[in-house]
Amino acid sequence: MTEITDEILLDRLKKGDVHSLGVLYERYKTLFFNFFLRITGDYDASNDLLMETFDRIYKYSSSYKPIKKARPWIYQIASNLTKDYFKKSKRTKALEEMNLEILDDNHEFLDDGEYRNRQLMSAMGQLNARERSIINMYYLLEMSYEEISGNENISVNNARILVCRALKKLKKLLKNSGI
Amino acid sequence: MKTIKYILSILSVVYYQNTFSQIDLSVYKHVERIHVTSYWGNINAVGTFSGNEKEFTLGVTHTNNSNITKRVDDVINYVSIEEKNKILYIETRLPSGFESINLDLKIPEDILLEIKLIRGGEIFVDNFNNGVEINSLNGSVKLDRIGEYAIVNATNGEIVANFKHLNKNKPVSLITMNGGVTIELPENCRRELRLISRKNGYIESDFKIESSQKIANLNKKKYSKEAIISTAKINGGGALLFLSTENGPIAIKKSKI
Amino acid sequence: MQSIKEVKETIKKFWNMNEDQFDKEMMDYIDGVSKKAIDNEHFKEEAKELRQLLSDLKDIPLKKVETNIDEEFKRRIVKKTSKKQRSVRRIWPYFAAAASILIVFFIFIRDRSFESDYQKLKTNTDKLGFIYNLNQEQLSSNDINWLKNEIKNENNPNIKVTILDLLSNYESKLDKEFFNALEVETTPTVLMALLNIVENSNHVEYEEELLALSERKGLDITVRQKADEILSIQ
Repeated sequence: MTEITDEILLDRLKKGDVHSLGVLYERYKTLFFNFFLRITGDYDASNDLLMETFDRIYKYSSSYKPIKKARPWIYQIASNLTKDYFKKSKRTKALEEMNLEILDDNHEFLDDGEYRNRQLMSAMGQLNARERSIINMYYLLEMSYEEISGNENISVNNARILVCRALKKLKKLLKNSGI
Repeated sequence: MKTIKYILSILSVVYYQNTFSQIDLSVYKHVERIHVTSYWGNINAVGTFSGNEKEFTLGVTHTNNSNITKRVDDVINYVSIEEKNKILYIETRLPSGFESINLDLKIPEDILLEIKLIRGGEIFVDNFNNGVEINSLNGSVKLDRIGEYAIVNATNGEIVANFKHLNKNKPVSLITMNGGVTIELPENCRRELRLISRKNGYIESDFKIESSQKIANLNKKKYSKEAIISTAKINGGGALLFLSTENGPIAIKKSKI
Repeated sequence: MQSIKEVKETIKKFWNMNEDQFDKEMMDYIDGVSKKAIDNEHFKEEAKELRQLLSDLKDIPLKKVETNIDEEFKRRIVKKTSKKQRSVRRIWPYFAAAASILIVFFIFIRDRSFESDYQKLKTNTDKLGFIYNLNQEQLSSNDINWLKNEIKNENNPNIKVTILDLLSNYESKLDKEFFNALEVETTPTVLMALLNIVENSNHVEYEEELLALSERKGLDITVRQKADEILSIQ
């Protein structure tokens, strides 16, 4: 069975079909929740941001233009919420402690893999807010440089450069921690 | 004789260092639009007669953190040039420290020119027939011999615009925050005016301003502390001419072209 | 085996390349846009390490959303659905009476949708002219909502300022949500246009937004002064 596209779901939502929002939620909840978690490091905040994302998708669905791709529109809402979060909380520097509970419940890890993941997340927490946002937009949400540049209000070239720099910094942080 | 030769060689070195090294853009002569993005630095763009195919070039100089300006030979390390869908994108690299990258463009006069200057610099544009759109932050914007229309947003800097002709259906919008707005129009130009000068401004006009409300300090060159916000017409009215400044005067003059 | 000349060219190219260009080339290579790596050991080593890092990041398992969060979402959906049903039930008794008036309305007065007309426009000049001409029209709440959204969606600052100039005539219909634009807008002239509207409204309600704006890092000094000026008049 062909999956209903995001564009069709948003168009239906725009016309009043609230249940389309449920379909979008099921589709994106895990991705967005982890996006927020890896940027904020805060479990409760990530849950709140997840709810707020879909509240806003519902609220602003009337402004969605069907000729535009849905995914960048939806991702922009999620990305703007992280900016709002940092403005309000003013926690734009490295996190004092990255919430590593996000890894606790996964029983499929081998010990060395689990250790590597913990180190990665810990190093991620040492990036500043913008670096964490950009890096997660790139690898987790798999946003294009055009989408990242639109969200961050920078040129496409600078989006490339900032992604590279964030990765290089992350690599350096990992090296310094012995990985 | 030896002294003269010595002086001449010194002068030629100085000239060589400070003139632009041009790169040829004629391979892009088919584009309809050029979009220039820069961070710090002056942008000088001159429209050239379309028939002259040699005149589609880009020159770059670089001013380093010690304020020394030199021409740039390896332009590709300072500027990226890319064409997509008949639009040519020229973008300078992200600056480090206080360096600035100055662009000198010679472009066929019929190409639509768009400029975005993200941090600061002066913009000077001369002789474009199909309109210009400019978004600038710090620095003045000077337009000379522009045709069709102009849409300009500046922040800290005056806007001076001279039009050789205007498309009667296209609006012109010149908006700045700190600085005056001066516009020169063809004498028979017909426009609906929206004039906003919020502080320290006055309105000056060579044209007869037709308005249902009195405009304070009109042609008196007396700075007003009160905001001047007015809708008016010249020559019976036509397309929109939106002139706005938060801080400065507005002058509407008849063009001498 | 490269000739000495080729090696020198590679070194020269690499030496002259600045960090930005290097990073750009790196990401092009990692993304598969550029197939050929720069012929340089440092570049190849870095690319290999960054590729591995990306692979490791992508391998981090995703944490599942807890069921209580799913339940919370479902509650919100139900709330949204019942809100719609309540509003339908409320207006139903009046619907029949209104229907006949609506039929007359549609027969004698052409249905106009400013938003749909606006969406057809391609150039900034067309949009500017269209927005300005709306000063001659009486805007509905839907029109105002559309224009409020347009301030967030539109890129061109001149168009945004023209929209705000238009909306300044409808101050009483502008709500707190409208002033959230103060948080996301970055262009100084547009911020000033927003602040000019705030100044004329009951700005006590927007103290939070004004404070957040005033404290924003890198904000233009004129904009900050304006925000502070409004805050001080309380």
